[in-house]
Amino acid sequence: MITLAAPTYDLNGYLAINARVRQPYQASRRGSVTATLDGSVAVYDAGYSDADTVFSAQWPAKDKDQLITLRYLIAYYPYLIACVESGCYRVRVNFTFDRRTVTLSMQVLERLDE
Amino acid sequence: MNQPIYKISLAGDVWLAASSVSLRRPASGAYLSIVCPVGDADLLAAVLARDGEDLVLWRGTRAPDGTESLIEMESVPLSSAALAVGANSASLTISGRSQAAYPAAATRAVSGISYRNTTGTGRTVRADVVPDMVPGDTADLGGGETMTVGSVTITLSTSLSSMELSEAE
Repeated sequence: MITLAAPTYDLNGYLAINARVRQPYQASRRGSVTATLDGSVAVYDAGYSDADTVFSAQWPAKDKDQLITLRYLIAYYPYLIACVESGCYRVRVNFTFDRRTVTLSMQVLERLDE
Repeated sequence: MNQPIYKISLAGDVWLAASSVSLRRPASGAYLSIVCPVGDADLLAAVLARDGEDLVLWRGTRAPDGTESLIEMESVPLSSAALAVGANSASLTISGRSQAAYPAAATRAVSGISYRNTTGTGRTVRADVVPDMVPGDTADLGGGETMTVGSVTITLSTSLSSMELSEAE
């Protein structure tokens, strides 16, 4: 289950979607590993940020009202509150609807439940 | 097979790992610039504290058992250092310039010529690195062709190394 909610009070600003994000648990650190001329590598570590996570989900569209609500949320709010099985996040959302399939992408801005 | 390596030392006791090196040898003296793919304010301060001390480029090989064999390729006094930091990477660029005279001229064979350009002011040749090539040397380009070297630019990275020679005017 994925829920999306407006960040402020809005009677129409809530959506529960019967779908799962593809990789609810994922993590990577910022940084780089660069080959060096001495035959070794140099490691630059810039730490961990939840904001490097992008959640995506796909489901067959059966409900037109769901698409209208999703478009409404994206059109009116710069970010939404998303809850997926791994946690609750402030996210920036976009979606596409193609061949009866909805593809949702949620760029995490901040984790809210820790 | 031994692995070709390049190392950088500063003041004889600080070793830096470089991802790329640019060594220019115009007639006026050598200019060495190295990029280290790491860095923070502490390292920058440590480097800047050694302003004027020897920045040395070493070349050599490392055997499979880890044994290294190094000889000095260029030495210049450290003159500047700059730190650039991004979200995913950082780099410390260190450079130095020498006004010391080059060693006595010699004739040195050049191989692996990949590019050449000829203009009214002379020839430019890109080839495999000859570490000791300096202005005033005679480059033996093969086939009986020679060229008096006016300037040398050596570029080293983990994916390529090349040398560009410009003919003396």
